[in-house]
Amino acid sequence: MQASDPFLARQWLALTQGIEADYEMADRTLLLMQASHVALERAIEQVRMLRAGEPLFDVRIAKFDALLRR
Amino acid sequence: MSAALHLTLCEAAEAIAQGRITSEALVTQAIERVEALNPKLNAFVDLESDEALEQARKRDREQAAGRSRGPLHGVPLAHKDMYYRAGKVSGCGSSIRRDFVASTTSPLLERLEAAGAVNLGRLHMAEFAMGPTGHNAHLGRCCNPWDLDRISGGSSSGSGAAVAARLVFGALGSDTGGSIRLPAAMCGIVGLKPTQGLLATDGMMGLSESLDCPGPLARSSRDIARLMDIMSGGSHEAALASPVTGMVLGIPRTFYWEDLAPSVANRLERARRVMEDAGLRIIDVDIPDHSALADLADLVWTPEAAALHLPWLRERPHDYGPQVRARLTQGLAISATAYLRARQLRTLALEAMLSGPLARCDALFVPAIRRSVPSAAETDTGSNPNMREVLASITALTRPLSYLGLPGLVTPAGFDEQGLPVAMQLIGRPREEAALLRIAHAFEERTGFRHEAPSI
Repeated sequence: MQASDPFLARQWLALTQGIEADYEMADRTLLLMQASHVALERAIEQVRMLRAGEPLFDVRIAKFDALLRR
Repeated sequence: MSAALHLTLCEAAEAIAQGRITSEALVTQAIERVEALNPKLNAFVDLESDEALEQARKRDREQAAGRSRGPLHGVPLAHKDMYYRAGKVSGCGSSIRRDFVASTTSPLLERLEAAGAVNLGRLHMAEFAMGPTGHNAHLGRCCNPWDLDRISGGSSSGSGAAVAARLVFGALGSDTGGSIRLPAAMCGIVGLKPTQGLLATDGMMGLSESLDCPGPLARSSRDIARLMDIMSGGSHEAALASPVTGMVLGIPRTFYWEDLAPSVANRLERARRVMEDAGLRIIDVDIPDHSALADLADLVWTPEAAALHLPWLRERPHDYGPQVRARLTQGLAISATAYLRARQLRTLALEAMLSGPLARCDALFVPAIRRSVPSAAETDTGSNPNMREVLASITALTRPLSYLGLPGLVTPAGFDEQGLPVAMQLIGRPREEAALLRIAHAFEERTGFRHEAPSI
């Protein structure tokens, strides 16, 4: 999906979220999808540099709360 | 302004307990000040004068009969308009919930009032707690008491402005990405984001189940400690008596200390020297790269918020302000895999902090904001394309901590050349709020910034 295709984004929002979006909202949604993808990949790459292999495969989300209660 | 309104929360409680002032007199003075200043500040959305005076007279009768409810007996507070009170409106800064009447009461409000607090009313907030500036498309802007053309910070905007302007002695806010710490920093008061999960989120509006943190704002760390004792138990206030000599304060020289405005860097350097003089041992620490944590926080809170708001986004999208609607749209764009991977990374990021810098020191010392308090004009972006960048710059140093779930305390570190507050932020280990309060209390006792009041 390209940031220059708000028509497709409108369809995507309607099909997956039930949202009737205007073109401006759809365009912004596309840009944010791209920005969030870039941010996530950057963060994972940072972790990958510290941990060998696939860094998230054995990680449990529930451990976060356990760490805060320790 | 009455001298009594200059007191801190603890001093006011002591004055009432010793019979030097009645609750009715204190509440009356607070009401008069709200009536005089709120047209300028817009910190209160609802002043409940009659009910507050009735509560105050009841507290005075109890006191005359030798009964004290507790350590807040007769002291007026007010809270962000997202804490529910059964049978009362909780508007959440919105048009959509403007007339929402809650069926339950927040246990935090119940505990504060069981300790004797008097409720003065409901405070301004960003629409649905989304926005770090104090702008609100429905309520108008909440102004900074130090300079009405500056932003108050948000989303607990009214809590920051009302406490700083001496309208109330303390307030509850909530912090999902900095919403307690930013208004505290910009309004020159103390604000605590407790450890994630320490305080109950029942009976209050939700935004992000993973990141929401209720917490207090007041004018001193002792006040915050007392409020925490009441809300969470523990012995935060008693801990303040322990000396800070030998406690270790870590300074992460990367990320948090980069790109600071000169006036901020200068005030924080002075603050560092004050803490060294107080007997704290200051060390430089390496921290993991936090530059991506703010973006990761967005990957967690925005889809959680969008999920909560989806029915209204479908049925009445134009009842949201443009900025809030744009931010919720961001949540719709996050995939389930991105959301879950961001939450997995959260565990790793917290582990790295606990086994790294926080294993070597009692707290980290960082700025709260990199720059001086922004003007209203430069942050009034609506849904413009640069909105995300402006908001990101304000929250750059607070959002990482929300993602990590760690406690963070903001306290004034002085004033810049324009007379605007500059703040420092202390970051602690999980459930060690008392350590942050001890350090901040020692600092406040040596600097006395809390005695400075805005001349509004």
